[in-house]
Amino acid sequence: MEGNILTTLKLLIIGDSGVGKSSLLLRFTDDRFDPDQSATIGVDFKVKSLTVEGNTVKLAIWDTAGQERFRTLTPSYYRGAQGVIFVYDCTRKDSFSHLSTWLTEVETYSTKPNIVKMLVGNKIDMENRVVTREEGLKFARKHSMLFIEASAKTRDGVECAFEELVEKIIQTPGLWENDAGANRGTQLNANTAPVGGCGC
Amino acid sequence: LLEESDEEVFEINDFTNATDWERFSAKIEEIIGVWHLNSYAKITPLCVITDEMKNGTWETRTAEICFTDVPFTLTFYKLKERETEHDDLYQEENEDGVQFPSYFDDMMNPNTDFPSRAHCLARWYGLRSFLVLSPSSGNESILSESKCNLLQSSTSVALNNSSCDIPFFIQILEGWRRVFSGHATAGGIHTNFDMVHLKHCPQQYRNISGLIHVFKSKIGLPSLPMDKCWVSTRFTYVLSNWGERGKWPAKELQPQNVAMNFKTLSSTSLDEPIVELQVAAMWPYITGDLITDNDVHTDFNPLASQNWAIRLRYSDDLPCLLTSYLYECLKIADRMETLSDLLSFESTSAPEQDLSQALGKITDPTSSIMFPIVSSRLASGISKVVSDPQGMLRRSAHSLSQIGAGSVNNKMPETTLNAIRDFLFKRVQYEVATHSTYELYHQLKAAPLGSFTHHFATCAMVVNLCHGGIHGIAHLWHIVVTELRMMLDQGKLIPGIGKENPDLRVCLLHQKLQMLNCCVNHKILREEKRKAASKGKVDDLATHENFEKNAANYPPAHDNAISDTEHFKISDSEDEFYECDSDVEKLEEEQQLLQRDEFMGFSPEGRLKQCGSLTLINSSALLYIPITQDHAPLTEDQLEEQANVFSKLGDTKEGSKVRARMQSASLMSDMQSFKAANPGCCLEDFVRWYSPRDFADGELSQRMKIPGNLWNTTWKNADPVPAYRQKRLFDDTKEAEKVLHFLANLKPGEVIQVILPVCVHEVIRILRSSAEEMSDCLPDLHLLCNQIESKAVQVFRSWNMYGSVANQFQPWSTEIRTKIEDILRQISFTDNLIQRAQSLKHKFSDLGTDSEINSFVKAMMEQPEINVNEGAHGAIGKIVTQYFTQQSASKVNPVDTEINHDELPKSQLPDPTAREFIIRALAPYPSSFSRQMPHRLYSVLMRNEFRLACAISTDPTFF
Repeated sequence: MEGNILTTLKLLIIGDSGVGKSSLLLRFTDDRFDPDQSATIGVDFKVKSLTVEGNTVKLAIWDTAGQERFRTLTPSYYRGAQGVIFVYDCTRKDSFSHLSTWLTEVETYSTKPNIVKMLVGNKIDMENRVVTREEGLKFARKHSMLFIEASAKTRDGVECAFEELVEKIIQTPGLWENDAGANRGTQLNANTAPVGGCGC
Repeated sequence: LLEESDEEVFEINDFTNATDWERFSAKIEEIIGVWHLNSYAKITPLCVITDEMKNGTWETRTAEICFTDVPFTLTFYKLKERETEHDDLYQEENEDGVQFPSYFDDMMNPNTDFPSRAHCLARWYGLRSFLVLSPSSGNESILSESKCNLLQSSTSVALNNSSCDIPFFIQILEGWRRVFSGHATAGGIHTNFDMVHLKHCPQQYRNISGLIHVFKSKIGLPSLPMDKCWVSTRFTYVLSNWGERGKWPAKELQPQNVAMNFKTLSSTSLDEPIVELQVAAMWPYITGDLITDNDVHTDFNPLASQNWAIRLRYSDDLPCLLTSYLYECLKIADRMETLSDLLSFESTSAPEQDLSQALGKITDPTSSIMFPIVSSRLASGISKVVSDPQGMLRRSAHSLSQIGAGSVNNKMPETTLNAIRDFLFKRVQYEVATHSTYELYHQLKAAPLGSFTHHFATCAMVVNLCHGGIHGIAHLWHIVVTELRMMLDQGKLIPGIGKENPDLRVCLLHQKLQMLNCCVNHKILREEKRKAASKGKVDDLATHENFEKNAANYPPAHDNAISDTEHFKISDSEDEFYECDSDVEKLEEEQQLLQRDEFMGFSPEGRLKQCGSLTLINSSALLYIPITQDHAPLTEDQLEEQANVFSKLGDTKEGSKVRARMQSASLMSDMQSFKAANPGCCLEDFVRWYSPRDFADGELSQRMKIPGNLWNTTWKNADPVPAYRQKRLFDDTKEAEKVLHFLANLKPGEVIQVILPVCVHEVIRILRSSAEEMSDCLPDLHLLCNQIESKAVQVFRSWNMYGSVANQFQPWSTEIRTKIEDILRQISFTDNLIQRAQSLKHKFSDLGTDSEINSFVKAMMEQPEINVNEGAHGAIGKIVTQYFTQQSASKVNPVDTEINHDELPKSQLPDPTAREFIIRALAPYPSSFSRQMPHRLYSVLMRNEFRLACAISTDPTFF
């Protein structure tokens, strides 16, 4: 199975706390929704293989905590990422208006100039929506992002979001080829180097 | 020689080679077919647009073919056609029904004369398309005539069979002589292209009357009237001495200034970028009867010609300082020697001793030897690295580097070492640019302008170029590492680095230095605290006594009567806060003031400020944000290592739990601080501050309520402990040692790699400012800079200088190296271009207004050759003539000058270095009743070379 894998891509999920980043990821990787998903501490990590247009890629997806206090921990995870998913909560205006801060972070810390950005408006199953689809679209267009609305609870749009993102990354020249150097951090089968303390 | 090879080429009867011969011929036919040259004539226009030949671009196609085992290269040259209505022209000319091949027009059209950039065959015969067969490189030249004839006939058959009318040339004799033998057949007409190449010119061919005589006899019409011969003439004059006025660099470089200026790079060339200026005086297309040019008299006076063209010849290998700095870096970046390999220490330290240990010993406060580098042996044996500063920079960049690398002892003079140390650690007024915006140095992952790292990189480039290459770098790095160790031990901050946490957007070296400063800063604060604490232990009273002494009669006080200001004073000496900056301290002081009012339960500690107007859920007390421990600062390699650890835990639920636990130390610390600052608080209170979205409608969110979740359990385990009494999240002592170990272990070659982004950034910055200055005459310069920049951004952003383990340098890959070499080539090209333009601008600064000068320089930079209006009498011509006059004056020795005093001011050009003639005629050949055929003779006469290139066409009708 390993042999057929085209490449390993590094993705990142960011956004305010409580917008459903971990839930989206869980829906995508395990096709589950866990109402008891606890708040992420620092960063978490999941792997999944995905086949898009006949190409199988391995995804290493880094899920980050949205709390202000954890934010200083995350910038390093932007390094080498080919794609980043910005999540906001359709029922919370502030989570949408904070997006520009997250954009700045990505622009500041990403090492790939043509990193693919995707905007996901989560929780469309809820009734008290305050951010319209048009607002989301407009923001995405302005900042050259992919855009989709989704619900981790009802699974609407989740699979599609990841597939679109991966497809776009594969189509972007120079983003993932010959990436052995920059991608070193996400090699999942690396079990050779002895590792000391984590430094904190 | 081959000038006599006029005989019929079809006469070869040697069939012993038949098979090879046929195979070869078939192969050529095949290629001609593949390249679609058999129908070529039909699409070729008969007319050449005036300057198409002059400035057009050429396209080529090549193929390898063998004759038996001998490999040849077949090349097709073709001038790129412009998009014009060529078809119409072709048809118009074709009306009279005569099917002349297109090369006839090429030969006879004066617009093809003297192209400024073309294959030599195009210059000699005016051809716009032709085929050349030459021995593949490294193979034997065709020296024998029979060999040549054999090839001729086989190609001739091939051309005939495929009805291809493109002239076909075979390169013969030694490659450097550029001698070709060619032929073409079309519409029954045959043209032979022959050549004479001699070292010295026979007397009778030196002038136009002699050449016309030769030409006429070649076409067998000695009596052809002179007015039927059309002559184009071009004389070339070379200016290679610009004199004092024009030389570049204009000012003599002071090597000492370059070598001892550690702050800025010099950006000039060490040599003249413009080797020659060539003036071509031309007399285009006149009939032979209008000119006299014989042994006795010549009409060709260049100063009278109205047709001038000038072109420049540039230095191929111009040593530019700016580029040299980088090239010299690249040269040593792969060197594997360690610091101790390169520096010879005193024998006191055992050779196997690790350097960091050695440094530790040396910088041990009990040891009096501070600088092992200036040990007695070294001091006594100072050998001058820069032994010949005056001559140093005048030599090429190559010898510049040799001065250092070639020195035997590889020691830098103590004075130089001291100057560098002084410069980096004392003299520089560091003004670190702090940009909130995203600057070029961020994109390049370099270092902030004006920072220590920036200055160090510049200094290293100077040291590398002027003070002994890798040995110089070894000395420099040793100084730096030693100083850093000393500063750490003495609790001093590195200048020009700041106190902020490592900025992941800049280079690894800068991050490491930032880390070191973070450590020192923590250490300083801790020391202060310890001092304060030890004082405090004696007794609070001690402080207060102290206070009394200072501040008169106020009673020592734990009471509320004391005014704010006095409380501050007391607090100053009671300072016992752990790692917080001064404004935070003040805030806390205020909080302390407040806390005295509200003794309840245990007394709150470590408050930062109120959290809005929130009150605790279980009481009416205000909710306070605590002073917290900062997260441990990390450099990117450490973060990478952490990410590796995390990813190796896998994506199972257990893995997630372990990851969360590993990262919960700071959550625990924050909870402890919060509890200490808010006696009687509960998890809800904490969440309201820490993750407000998880508290709504008076209760915790679902996810916070999950029994056994890490937030919950951590909260239960957290004791109220203010930040300053907590276990440190950041072990500054350990981290500082790690950084120093990392730095001390860098090999000098690796030091170069580490600073390379900073070096390239600095060079780009200088190029940019030149581009700004030169934008009027080199408008494309900023595009070149953009290109360099975007390439550099790509390389430096994807370059990881560390492996999966933190604090371990990973040398660059060959891929990175290759990419950087590519960037350097572009930098060198740009640097060269700037030098040329600057030099030219300087030479012609008397030309007129700024805009006139700029447009002249622009034209010269963009075109291989430009036409000069009014020849010697135009503005440009006058300046050029002056330089020529100056040049010939400087050649005349002083004694002669006296004699020729009267004639000196007269402007003059030297003897031409090249005389080119083209003679053309339409005349019947081979007999007087043949059709009119085009014939052409090209001749060039130079000092050591004479060439005749003759094309005679034969009408085979009746023969």
